[in-house]
Amino acid sequence: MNNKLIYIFLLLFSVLNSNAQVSDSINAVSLNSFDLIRIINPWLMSSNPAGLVLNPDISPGRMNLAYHGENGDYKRIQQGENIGNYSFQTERYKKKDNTFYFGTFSYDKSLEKGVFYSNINNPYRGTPFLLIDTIGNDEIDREFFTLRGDLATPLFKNINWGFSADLNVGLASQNRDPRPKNKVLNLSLSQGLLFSFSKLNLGLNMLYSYYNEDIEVEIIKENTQMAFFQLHGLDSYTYHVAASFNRLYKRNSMGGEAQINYNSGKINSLFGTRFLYIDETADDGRKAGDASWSYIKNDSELEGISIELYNTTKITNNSSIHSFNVKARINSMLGSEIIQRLEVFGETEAVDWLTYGVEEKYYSSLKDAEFSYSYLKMKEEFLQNYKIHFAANYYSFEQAYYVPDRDDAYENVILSLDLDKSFYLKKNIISLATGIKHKKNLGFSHNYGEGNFITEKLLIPDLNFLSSDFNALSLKLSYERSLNKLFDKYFFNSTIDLYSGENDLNRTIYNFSTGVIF
Amino acid sequence: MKTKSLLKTLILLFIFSSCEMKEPDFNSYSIELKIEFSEEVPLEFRDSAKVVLSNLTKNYSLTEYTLNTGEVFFDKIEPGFYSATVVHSYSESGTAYYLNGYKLIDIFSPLSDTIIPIVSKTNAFVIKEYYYSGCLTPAGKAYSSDQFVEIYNNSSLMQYADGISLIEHESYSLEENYWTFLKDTIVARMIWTIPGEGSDVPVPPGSSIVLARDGINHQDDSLGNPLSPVNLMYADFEFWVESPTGGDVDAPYAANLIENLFTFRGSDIVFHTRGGSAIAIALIPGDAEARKTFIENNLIQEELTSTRYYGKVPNEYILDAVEVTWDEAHAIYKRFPVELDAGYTYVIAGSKSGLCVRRKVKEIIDGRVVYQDTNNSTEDFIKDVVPNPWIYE
Repeated sequence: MNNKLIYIFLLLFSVLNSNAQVSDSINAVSLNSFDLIRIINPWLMSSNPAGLVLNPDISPGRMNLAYHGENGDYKRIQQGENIGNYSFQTERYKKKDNTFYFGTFSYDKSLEKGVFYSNINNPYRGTPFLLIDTIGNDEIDREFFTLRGDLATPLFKNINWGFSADLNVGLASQNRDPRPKNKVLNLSLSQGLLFSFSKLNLGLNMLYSYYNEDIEVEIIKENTQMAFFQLHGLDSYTYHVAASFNRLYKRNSMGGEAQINYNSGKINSLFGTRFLYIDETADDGRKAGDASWSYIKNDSELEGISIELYNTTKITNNSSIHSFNVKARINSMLGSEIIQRLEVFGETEAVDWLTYGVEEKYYSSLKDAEFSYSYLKMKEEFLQNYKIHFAANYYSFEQAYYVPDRDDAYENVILSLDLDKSFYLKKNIISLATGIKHKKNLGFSHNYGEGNFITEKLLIPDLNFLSSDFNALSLKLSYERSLNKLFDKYFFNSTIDLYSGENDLNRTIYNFSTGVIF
Repeated sequence: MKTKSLLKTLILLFIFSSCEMKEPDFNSYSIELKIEFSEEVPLEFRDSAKVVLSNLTKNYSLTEYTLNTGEVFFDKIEPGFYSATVVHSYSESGTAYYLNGYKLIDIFSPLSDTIIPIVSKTNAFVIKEYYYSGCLTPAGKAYSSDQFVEIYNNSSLMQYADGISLIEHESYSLEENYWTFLKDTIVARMIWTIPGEGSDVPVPPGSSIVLARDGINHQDDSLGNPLSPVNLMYADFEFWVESPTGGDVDAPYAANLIENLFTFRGSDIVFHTRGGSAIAIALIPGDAEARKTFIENNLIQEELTSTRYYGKVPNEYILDAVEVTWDEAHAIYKRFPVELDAGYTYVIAGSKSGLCVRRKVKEIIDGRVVYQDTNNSTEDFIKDVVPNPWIYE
């Protein structure tokens, strides 16, 4: 099934890139155009792929090599101290006949060093049901592919149809006993309709995604067993001592989004609301060869809903664009732990896990509100002169575990201001940008009871990080040069973000990419 | 403050804030346990018995004390599989008794149950202090020659320590104890015995003897470390490893222990500085020759994987045991059975901290310190104290 899917993606991708070699001579584009296109067509902020039909008449594409690095101790506790990620990325907007396409492909190879307490590819993807061990200072080697294809086409008069598929697959592995190998598959599908009535557009789309993480943990050293901890939220956990361990996460998310858009030319405003239902299970197992049990054990189930409201409005006044974005999101998750015991069944004396109860004992709530404003002064229709961007983001998170009662909570606000100026020097464009960011904690609380090693090693350090203030400075330099043949432009782009947290904790994030625009 | 209020107001504007998930649906139960004391326990000693309810799949326990009716109540207990342990002690006519009871309980509804504890007499000798972490030299190097074990006469009568063996468990608590298939037996990687014929090493009530790794003044000796917390020049015994190279210096004052078993024999003994060495003291019956013969006849090796021999020691010979481990995470690799040590302890500050674990003082009777001995080192020991041999506090 997966192979067929990949073939479909490759076909779509080959269509997108069929004219990649021909330079786009209709309109001048630059690196900034890829951000601009999302402001010009606010439907690209939605999840409705049919919104592609409202794209402006440009078909920018780019292809580049990139490096992303992170280093420093201002980080979450299960995050590595040092991350180095090399990637090849390409993306393209395309219109052929009446059909609009968008496609991306990326290959990522990364090494994350200094990782503690994690057997999960991403321990911060929103589940409290984590698998950890206590042998630290691991290195995680990751290799991931991402392939996305969108298309939108007229179906009937005033009705357009769109389809989007996004596939992310990869492998993460650690280098120290116990050694997890995480096979990750993340597939997102969406199809939607767009109804156009003069200045009014209405949209509706369905969303579905499937996440699968298959973890196989091995201990290479002979005759050695280690403890695997299955976290159940806050300081609650069960554990198994074994020479191998397997875990399978399966997450299904489904929902939909509705949009209403008013576009008078000067004012273009899109309002949308999205609803998602999430259901994830975690099952455990071990290899029969050296295990006292190897039958599938149901560990937990996580259910949740995510509701989001957003509005994005663009006001155009000659060469000026005012862009407003407002977003509010709430995520609620409910976790159930499954209480089982190995027992002998029936006359055949088969052994299996018997379920004694399913207890809904974990609850979390995330509230996220964001407002941002951008003022763009344009040089040409798709070339930016300068941009001023301001954003304010409030978010709060609370989680609780019941019996024994534990909870923690925090709320933060982040303010940021960015300036971006481009200089056009004949065939060359130089863009300089700088930004500042400040995070202010508005409060936090916790009730961890007497505590255990999870409290000491994970909960308290993580809450200290999440409830701490930081200041950040970002700098960006990019350079583009027009090319005469094959491609429109060559570019390189580099950014650096310097985070300075409390207690002299720091983290530096740097990015460098170089490639071509076509 | 204004910003905070404004943002909170903004959040209240979430028109969908009422769309959160339903409240979690979970159960909790009330448990009533009745401790049925045997006839030999006087009525006046039956209240305030400690009952520990431990969740077997999660790493926590709850403690309550019995009423004078022998009943104990636990409220708001989550469903699951539990063990209930009763720990109680009393003194009568100069003899200490302690009670231990244990029962497995499945809790999936409100429950009433009964536990029958067993009465036993406590041992006279206990491990009072165990210093294994070592320390750092001024040059920042690790130093562990100052490790020691202190054995204390916790009774009111003169006791004799000759013939008592110091045992180090085979497992370092890095993985599950390999030897769990051996019933009522522990397996040792090291057995050293105090020499004597049975009355050569008297230990008065409220006194102790120190078994030093090296019996020197560690703070002042040229082979020592000025940052060591102890002077062990007057240690009663030391672990001296005889070898042709003379790698282990024979200290002048401390008598040498008898080397009965030293599986990983090197130039000197060393207790695991990170907490891997769980130790016990045992009295193997008979004279020195009989003990030697017993140990030689009770060797065992790991099947297929090792050519090394370890010593089997029956639980009934153990006088006291301390389940020292690395930290909470390693505590699951428990080596000593509940009847020898129901808990575990460790130096939180870790290796090279210069700190040790010491038994808590239970009471002082006519100036004689009586240390707590409930056979549960989690309860009985204080963590991270500065080593203080021969000081009873």
